[in-house]
Amino acid sequence: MIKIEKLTKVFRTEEVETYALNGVDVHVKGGEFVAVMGPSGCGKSTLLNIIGLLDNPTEGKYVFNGDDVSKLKEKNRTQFRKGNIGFIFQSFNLIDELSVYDNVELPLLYLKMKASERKERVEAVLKRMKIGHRTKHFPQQLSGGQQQRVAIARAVVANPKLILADEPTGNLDSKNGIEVMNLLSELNQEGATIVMVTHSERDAGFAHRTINMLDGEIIFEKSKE
Amino acid sequence: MIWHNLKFIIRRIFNEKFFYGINIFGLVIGIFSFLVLFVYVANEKSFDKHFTDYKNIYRVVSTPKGLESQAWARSLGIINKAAATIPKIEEATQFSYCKLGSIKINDISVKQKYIMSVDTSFINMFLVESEIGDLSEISNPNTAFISEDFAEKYFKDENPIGKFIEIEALQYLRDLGLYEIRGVVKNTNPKTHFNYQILISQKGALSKRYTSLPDRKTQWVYNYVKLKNDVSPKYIASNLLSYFNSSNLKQTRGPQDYTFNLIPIADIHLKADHRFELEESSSKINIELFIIISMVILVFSLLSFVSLTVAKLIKRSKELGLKKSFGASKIQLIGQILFEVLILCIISISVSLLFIEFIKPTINNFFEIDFQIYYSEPIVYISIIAVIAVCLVLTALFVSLFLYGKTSTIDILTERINFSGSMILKSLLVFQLTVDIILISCTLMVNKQIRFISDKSLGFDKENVVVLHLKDHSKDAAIFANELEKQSCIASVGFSAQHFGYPSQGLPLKGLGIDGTAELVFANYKYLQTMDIPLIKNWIIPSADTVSGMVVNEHLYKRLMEKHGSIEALNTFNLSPNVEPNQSGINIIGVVNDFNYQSAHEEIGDFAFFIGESQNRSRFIHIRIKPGNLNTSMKSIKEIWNIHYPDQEFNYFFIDEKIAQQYKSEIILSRILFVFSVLGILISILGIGALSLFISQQRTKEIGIRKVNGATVYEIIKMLNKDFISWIAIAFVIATPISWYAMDKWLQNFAYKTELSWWIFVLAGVLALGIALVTVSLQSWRAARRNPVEALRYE
Repeated sequence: MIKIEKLTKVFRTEEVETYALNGVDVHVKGGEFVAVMGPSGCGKSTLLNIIGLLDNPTEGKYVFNGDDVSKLKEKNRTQFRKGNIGFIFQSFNLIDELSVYDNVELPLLYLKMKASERKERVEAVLKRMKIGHRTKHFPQQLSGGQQQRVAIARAVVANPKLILADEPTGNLDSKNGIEVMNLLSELNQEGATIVMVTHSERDAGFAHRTINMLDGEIIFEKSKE
Repeated sequence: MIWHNLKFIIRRIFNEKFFYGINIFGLVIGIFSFLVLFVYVANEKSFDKHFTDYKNIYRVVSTPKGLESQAWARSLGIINKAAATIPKIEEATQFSYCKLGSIKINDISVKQKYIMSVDTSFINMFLVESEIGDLSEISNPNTAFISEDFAEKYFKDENPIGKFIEIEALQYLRDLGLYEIRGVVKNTNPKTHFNYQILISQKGALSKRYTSLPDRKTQWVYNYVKLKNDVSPKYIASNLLSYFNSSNLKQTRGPQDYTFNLIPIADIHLKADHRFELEESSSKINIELFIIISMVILVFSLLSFVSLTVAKLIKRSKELGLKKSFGASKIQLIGQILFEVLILCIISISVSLLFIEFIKPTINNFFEIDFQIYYSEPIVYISIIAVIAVCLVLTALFVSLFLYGKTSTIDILTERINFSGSMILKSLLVFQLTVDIILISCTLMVNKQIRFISDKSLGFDKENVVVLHLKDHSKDAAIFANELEKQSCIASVGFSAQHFGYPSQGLPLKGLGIDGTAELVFANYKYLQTMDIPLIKNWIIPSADTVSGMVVNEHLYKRLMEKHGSIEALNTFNLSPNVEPNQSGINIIGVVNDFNYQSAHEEIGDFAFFIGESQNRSRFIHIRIKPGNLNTSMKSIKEIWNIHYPDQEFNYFFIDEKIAQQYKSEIILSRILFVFSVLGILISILGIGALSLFISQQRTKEIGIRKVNGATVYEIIKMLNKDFISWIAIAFVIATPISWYAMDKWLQNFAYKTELSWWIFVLAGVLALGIALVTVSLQSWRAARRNPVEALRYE
């Protein structure tokens, strides 16, 4: 599903060039659950942003589902992202002014889906995330674990092929963290491809494969079994 | 999606009441001021344009030579006869206009406004529409038509036709007798330079008056002509002049030379400054200034609104980035923001319109204008749509320029935004400050000039003089005056045929051997004493019973001396037979100091009092009251008046108030400037506040780090203020020459002007500085007091 070859990302300021990614090769197959680990500043978030089409690489090739997307313009990246990629963030990134229901509905609105179908989908996914009883609540009224479940619901409601998670348990206690990881595993078992950036060995244990990075390069990969 | 956005915006407004309250408030002030001024100007400009062929309709003005600066709205009554000889005139009409007369209706005498005597040409030219009755009956003797309002007031459910109105007093006329109501006409369109409540026939009681008009040099009627297409008004004016010059009228008593002018009716309301104008015109109000100010205020408030909106977007950037990550396109996001702006605009416009309805009477009183919103007219909607459009375009421009120009989604999500465009925002700030300083300094300057004029010595004592308007000359006013002078509260009583600011007469100076015309006022000797106008040269023979002769001002005296050398030589010249045929020799009996008879706009010119004791001088009775209890004095004057003139209404005014009216336009200008400086400043406080919010947000991290490293709140505020001070300095440098130039130009309107003082500009600059610093400090105080941990955590 994802083929990344010799990917380089350079951040330039007037005087310094920083290599956030330096010739990285990553392959992710459909249905895989991959964890990316490494110390702060190793380039894992940059990699995730490029995979999520939020950012363009400086050099290298990125093929997503058979399409070369490494040189896409912002406008086309937006089109490509729509419905194909779901994001989960460490700080949940829910919109405070919107209720749980409205937050989850958001990606569907941009897909121009019919109202009846949207309702069906949102209700189903919220039930699935076990927050069907809190649809009218606002993010501030929920616990951290509940907020992250809403965020996951929002990431998966459009049935994306790829889910990208940036330290999804970073702001949660261990109980809620494990719950969230179980949910991700379930989604993976149902066929979703997941790429997750994490600091936590425990979370990485849920993935099929772990990529370890340092200073913009992949130093080793480890598959389960 | 619209529904979703709407829900979102409403929740956001409720969540952040303070921010949105401020933002809407600023916009409301701007839209409110703009609508008031713009709609007012549009209304003013559309006066009399509802008449079909208004472009062909002109007022005829005839002015005796030398008195061009004080043309009357009324003119010689020759238009009907003259028009008959000029084929290019399609229609001509003359009418009399009585602003306040008295009528008897249902056996009760009442004051009645707006009585006009008209003919059928008037009906045609000014499209008078009949509600009931046949308008051609206006040419029958003693018929009358009443307006809908009048009918409503006096004949609620009755049929007014066949009823009678007794006209007791019309301007200069009394006891015209009974008029039969023959119909009801539609009310005058409010945007007309005259207004009628009762239209009466020129036939019957008024016949004699009208027939005599072409043979006398009186200017009693208003004359209007409708020209055929493509006829130049100058051509008609010259034809009228040749008609006059060849008529017998020219040879009768009075001035020999007249000039004729045709004034387009569409110009009357805005530009005409004629004496005896039908309705008070707006010639004294500076329409261009209204337009400029309305635009400046609107632009100000829109800029503040946009700055606030953009500043807020930085805080919201995460939400927008998030939406982008779901696949919202740039256009969709800008659409969302514009939708929000649209909603805020609609709210602000609705609030403004409500506010206008509420505050309208106050506006009309304060600016002495007649402001109305006519919702049936497209201009209202056009201006509303224009406001919304400008607001949307500006926001779209700024949002895409500042937020989405070069930044990518990831920058927004991680709040890594660089404001390459903040230079533009800073120049906007400088612009706002510049206009602030200009507004403040002009307000100060106009006030200074008005104070200067009203404190300026006019050459006579304007305080404590009350003037009574006497219309009944059948009794000797001297008896009344003697009675008044017996009162302990009254210092002296004098008569004159004109008063300060009232049209004076022209005195051709040919008879005195020099060119030009002097202003001439008929008065008695006591008048000079009453007005406290001292004689600096006095040749009055002390033994004479009555003082009569000419008293000239110093200006004229100097000119006469240049010509004749001495008063003796002048007197010899005066008595020699070279005087004009119907002018008796002028006997100069005194010289007075120069004084301002008109207003300080005009320079002192040649002026003469014709002193005598004849009856016709007592039209205006000037009474100097001893300082003290005004109410008791007025009461005793009124009592004596009622004894002597029981049939005449007690009409009076104070001379100092009359003088103040001469400066009405300046006083209104100072009010406009004051109000709009305050509004402008208020809005720019919002703008400056938005900008400092913007900047302190950008520097949140810097502030955090400085605080962690030991900077105090005071030091942070100082740091943030430093930039603003330099921008104010730039604004000051730009604003000072502009307002200097503008004020210098404006002062040229006055013959007597105050100086442009340097302190005005310094004060304006200091005020602007104070305003900006207070606003910025409030904002930076909040930023500086924030917990640095919080500020840094976002990194």
